[in-house]
Amino acid sequence: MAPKHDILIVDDEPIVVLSAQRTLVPAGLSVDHAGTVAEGLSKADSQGFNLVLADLMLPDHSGFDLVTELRRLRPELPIVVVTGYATLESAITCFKTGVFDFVAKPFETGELLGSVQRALRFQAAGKTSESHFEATDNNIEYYGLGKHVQVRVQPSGLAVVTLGVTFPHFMGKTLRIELPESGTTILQGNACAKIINREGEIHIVRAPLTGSVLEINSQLPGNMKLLDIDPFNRGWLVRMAPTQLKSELQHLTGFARC
Amino acid sequence: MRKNIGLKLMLAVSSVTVATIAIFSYIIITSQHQALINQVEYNADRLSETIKGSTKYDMLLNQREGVHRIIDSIGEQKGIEKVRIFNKEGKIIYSSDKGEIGQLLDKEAESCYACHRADEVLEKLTITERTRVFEPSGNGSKSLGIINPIYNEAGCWQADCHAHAKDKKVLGVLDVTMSLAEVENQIAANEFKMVLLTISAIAATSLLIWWLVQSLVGKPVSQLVQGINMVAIGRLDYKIGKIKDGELAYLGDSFNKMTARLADAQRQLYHSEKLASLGRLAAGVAHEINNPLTGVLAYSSFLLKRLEGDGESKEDLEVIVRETKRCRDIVKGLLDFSRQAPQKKHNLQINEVILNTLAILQNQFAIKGIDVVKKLSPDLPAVYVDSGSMQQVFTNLLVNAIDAIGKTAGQIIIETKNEGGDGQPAVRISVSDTGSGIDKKHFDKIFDPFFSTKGQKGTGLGLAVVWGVIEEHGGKIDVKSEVGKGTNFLISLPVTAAAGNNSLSDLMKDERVGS
Repeated sequence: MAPKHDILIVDDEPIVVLSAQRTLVPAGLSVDHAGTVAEGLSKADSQGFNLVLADLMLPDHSGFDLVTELRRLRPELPIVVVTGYATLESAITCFKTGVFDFVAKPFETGELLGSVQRALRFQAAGKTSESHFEATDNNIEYYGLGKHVQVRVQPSGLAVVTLGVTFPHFMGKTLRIELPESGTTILQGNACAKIINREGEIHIVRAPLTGSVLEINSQLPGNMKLLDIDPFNRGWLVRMAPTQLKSELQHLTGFARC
Repeated sequence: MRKNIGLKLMLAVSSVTVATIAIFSYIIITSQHQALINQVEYNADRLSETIKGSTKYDMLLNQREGVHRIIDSIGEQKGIEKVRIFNKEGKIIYSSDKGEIGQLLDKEAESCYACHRADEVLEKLTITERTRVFEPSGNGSKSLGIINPIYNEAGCWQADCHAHAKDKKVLGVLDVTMSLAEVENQIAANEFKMVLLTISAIAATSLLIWWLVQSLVGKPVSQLVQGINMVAIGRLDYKIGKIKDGELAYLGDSFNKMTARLADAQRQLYHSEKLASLGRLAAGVAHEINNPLTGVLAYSSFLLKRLEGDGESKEDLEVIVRETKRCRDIVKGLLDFSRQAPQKKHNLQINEVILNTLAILQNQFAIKGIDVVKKLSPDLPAVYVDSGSMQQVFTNLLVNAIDAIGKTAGQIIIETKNEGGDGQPAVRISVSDTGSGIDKKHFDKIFDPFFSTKGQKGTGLGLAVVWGVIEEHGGKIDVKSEVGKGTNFLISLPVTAAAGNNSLSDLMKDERVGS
């Protein structure tokens, strides 16, 4: 069934709905909205959308309920969580349920567009991460904040952060990358890289772990292609010293590559 | 309060002094009195014997004139009140008091009573029994009388006068009365001396006590009171001056220690409360502000796009967008700070955490040419800590050290020590670098959230997080630094009961040391 609208926004805050609409409609996307979890679920179930933008603070139920229920009802439907920094931790835990990405309020139009377009492209490509699968405890090669971002933890404890499978080839024509300064401390879920494309989309890469940035990949700004051709090796983003490794790993999913 | 202590001490010591001196005086004066009376008694006895001896001859010859003369001349001597002789019937035969001669004494009279008190007349008496102390009427002072029985002997009944029969045992009594006025004067003088002594003793001890109380108690106590008053008005930095020695010096030291700890605790409490309320406020504000901020950011961006051609408006709008983003970053910063991972504490060797952190950073040290010196004590007690938080502490401190050293090669020394020192056992960790150092004027602020000397590069959260973690673990962090020479962070982590290495007796020992 062809969806009536591309995107369903579930948010009880009119200005957020309006802002999202005003951002997405000019990009050629049609938008419907719901103000509660119940309404969101019923619309998503009956009407079919290509994407759901979900708030985590809703009047009737928690957004987390909405997300898990949507995943059960429509596993193929990508979800982008839109929430404030106050609920960042909930947003991080949402990745485990299979949420595609999250956008932090207040967002720049480019940030919302980035997440939405990347999700739609990923969806359109029918991409299920065929070469990556969830690992058992024994064969974990790397961890991921869902499929959003990956991190390899070396025996010394050093963590190497790379893009998740939802980034390469789905970011459009990349223009530039912003990486943090070495020495800064980044918290899990905060931006650790921003990739901007020619359309003005901002693709934010969330830090998989809290820690100090020790080194950034200095090759990247001059060679953005690395992100598409060798994203998991030469296209690494930052090396960091994780400080809450044990407690934060539980938010991550272990993956192996075949 | 001072007056009370002094006064009470003076009163107590004075009453003890008075009682002691009074008992002493009583004993001394009584025995002195007795000795003087005995002396008088002895003299009177000797005198009466002398009279008896010297009149014997005249008596035997029945030369009454001679007896009268002797008695008269002796009766005139100083201190002798009366000398008289009376016969068995109580008739006064001779007396220094002429008026008395011929009078008959009643057997109840003081001079007769000694022998005639019982139904049977006593003939032999001891010296004490012969002596009597009495107060003659009309005279203020006392007198001592001694009687001396004149016994019958061969000469008496064989004499020509035949005045005495052979079968009589006692012929008469010689009675000598001496004045005790002299003795009483002496005793009165002694009593006066004793009272004088008592008064001066009280005065001297009171003065001494007053001085002692003033110098040993008064001054230190007023110093302590001053200190307490200062603390009461919130001056926790006030220190009590040196008190010489004794318990009050100990009290003063304890007081100073207490205020120092109180100041410490207050500072820590202030800081932690500041952080906690900051966190709560941030979460509340962030939640409320995010939605409207979304509108502002989105709509100003739309407007910006629409006014592409209008240079001036575009510039203005860019300011709005930029500043809105700044608002967002501020809110985000606040929330980042309030987001703290739940801690899981375990008994750990802090050296292991340090070595792990150093391993992660190894590459960085190599790239920057930094020499890391490890002086880790091998016999440290375990500490009860959250390893992740501790690793964050060391990472932040070491990354700061790396940044402070910059591009020129330098040295980082990381040292651990077991410190059982004064009371609470602790593990001490020192991280020092040879970097650029911190200006003294920043010391107060470096642990505050959002304070950074790294400009745009720093988040200003690194040391605030360090502070928060150390405080959460009941530890302390201190900084020493000199611009151009380097910085030294000193961390002290308590080895607590939860560390599991302490036995109950150790704990109790600690309790005692602490108290």
